Amino acid sequence: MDVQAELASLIRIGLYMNKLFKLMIIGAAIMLLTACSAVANPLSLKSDYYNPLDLRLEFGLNGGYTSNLLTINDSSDVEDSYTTSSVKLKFYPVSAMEVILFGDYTYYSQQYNLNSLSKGIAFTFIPTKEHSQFSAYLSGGFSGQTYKDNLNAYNNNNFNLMASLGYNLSRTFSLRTGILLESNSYLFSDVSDNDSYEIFAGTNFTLFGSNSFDIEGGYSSMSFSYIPDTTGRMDLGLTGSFDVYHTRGDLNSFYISPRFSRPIGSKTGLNLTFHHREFLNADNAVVLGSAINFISPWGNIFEGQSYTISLKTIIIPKMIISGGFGYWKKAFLKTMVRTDYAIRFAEKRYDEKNRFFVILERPIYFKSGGALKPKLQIDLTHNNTTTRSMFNYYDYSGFSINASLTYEL
Amino acid sequence: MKRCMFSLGAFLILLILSLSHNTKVFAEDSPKHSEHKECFVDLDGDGFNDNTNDFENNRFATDETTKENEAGSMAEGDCEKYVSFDSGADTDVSVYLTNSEKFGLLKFTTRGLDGCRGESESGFGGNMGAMGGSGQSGGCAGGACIAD
Repeated sequence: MDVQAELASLIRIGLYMNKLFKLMIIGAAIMLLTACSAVANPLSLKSDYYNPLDLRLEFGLNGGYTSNLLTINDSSDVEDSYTTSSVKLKFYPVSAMEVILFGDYTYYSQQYNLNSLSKGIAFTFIPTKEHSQFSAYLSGGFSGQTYKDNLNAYNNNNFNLMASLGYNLSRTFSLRTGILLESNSYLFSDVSDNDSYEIFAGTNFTLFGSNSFDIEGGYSSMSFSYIPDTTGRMDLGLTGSFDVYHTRGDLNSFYISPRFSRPIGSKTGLNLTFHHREFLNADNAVVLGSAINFISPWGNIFEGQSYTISLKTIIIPKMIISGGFGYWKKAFLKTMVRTDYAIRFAEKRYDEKNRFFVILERPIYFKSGGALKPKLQIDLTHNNTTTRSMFNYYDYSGFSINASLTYEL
Repeated sequence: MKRCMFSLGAFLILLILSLSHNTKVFAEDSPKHSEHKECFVDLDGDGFNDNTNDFENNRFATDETTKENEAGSMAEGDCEKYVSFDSGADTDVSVYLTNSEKFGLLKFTTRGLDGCRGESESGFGGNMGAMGGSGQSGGCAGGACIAD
């Protein structure tokens, strides 16, 4: 019976890969056609005369299979394959500014409800000169994500703005500081809306030859809606709405992250990073977990530590190979996984997560200035929760393989 | 707790081993650098010198042509000196460059300023999604993320 199940699973994966392979072939054909047409396309010529608007186009096709589609959240083990097609239009009204219009559509083979369209605009402005000891960076953007009708409660808009300053004390010693503002709003309910700011400062310096050290710390505050843990059992009554139990508050936290990097030999780079984030005032806040259909906005908000090591090598000519391993120890906000519980029983969720990845890239540059960038990524994730009352809901493993082609014109 | 201590121990051992392996790279690899040493700067944390081409005869995928910036090239021993980066002349601005190429050069000078490390997972291995970055929120596809 087990053998049959294994065979069935292998056949299913084979079918996914077959479908993915076909999609990739179609994508490659489209890109080759575009590449051929670009020979006569004035947009690809690097000259103000031929390209007075200085437009750059970027097409992307991305396909993948994952054994756990919702791997950032739970143990549902929903496997699926997906395809994302994307386009970016970049233009440069002045040499100090880049404006990007972008859009992408993600299609899931089985979980059609998750199909979504993303679109938006982003800008980057660098007001300082190239050889100045000071450097300033300003960026911002708007993006919107829309789902199909039955998940349109999760349609959301995101605004972000970032300003940062850098100062070079010497050629190998620099300081930086900045602020990041972000706002996420859900179009059909404000329960999960959040606004946040983060201020950060860091330094980067080189010691004893080729040893680079980078230390960064920051403080952030996020306004969000939560249910106080003193609330009793919720009586949804006829309204069926959780909103009335929510109150607004601020979630404050700080982080510190030292990083060490250096070459190992002439063609390989090493990166070691530690990260620690700590909530300062989250003890009495409860948020809803699976009640919002697995794609919880709170899945990425946690305190704890992480240790990561990664290597990047160009040992194979013209190919970039990256790989890494990371360990995370996470403590999430008190989460109410099932809505028929009394709020006072909600508890913090503690997870341990391991992740391993390998990325192969083989960029091809054209004389016209364009580039074709194929990329293959394999990712393994294993997550354990130590909070037993979560019914092993967050014990999961995931395997993902992802291939993408980006064509820059 | 044990696991945490084990990971921290492994992290420190790797750090010590790496420090003891004090390889002089790039400066010795290429004849063109025999007289001038590239100051080692790694603001993007990939372990490669930002001031050196990572690909021979080609551009690096992540940093493109801006890696060819020679601002860090100077005599050995001068890397730690306090210096002015402003040459006082607009020699860097070429009338032959397009706005996008000039922007690429400017962007090189702001490495490390284009984001913070507030999220421990965002910079590790990238998204299993589409294009990512450039102002897009979320960007996950294989993880079905909805927002950052």
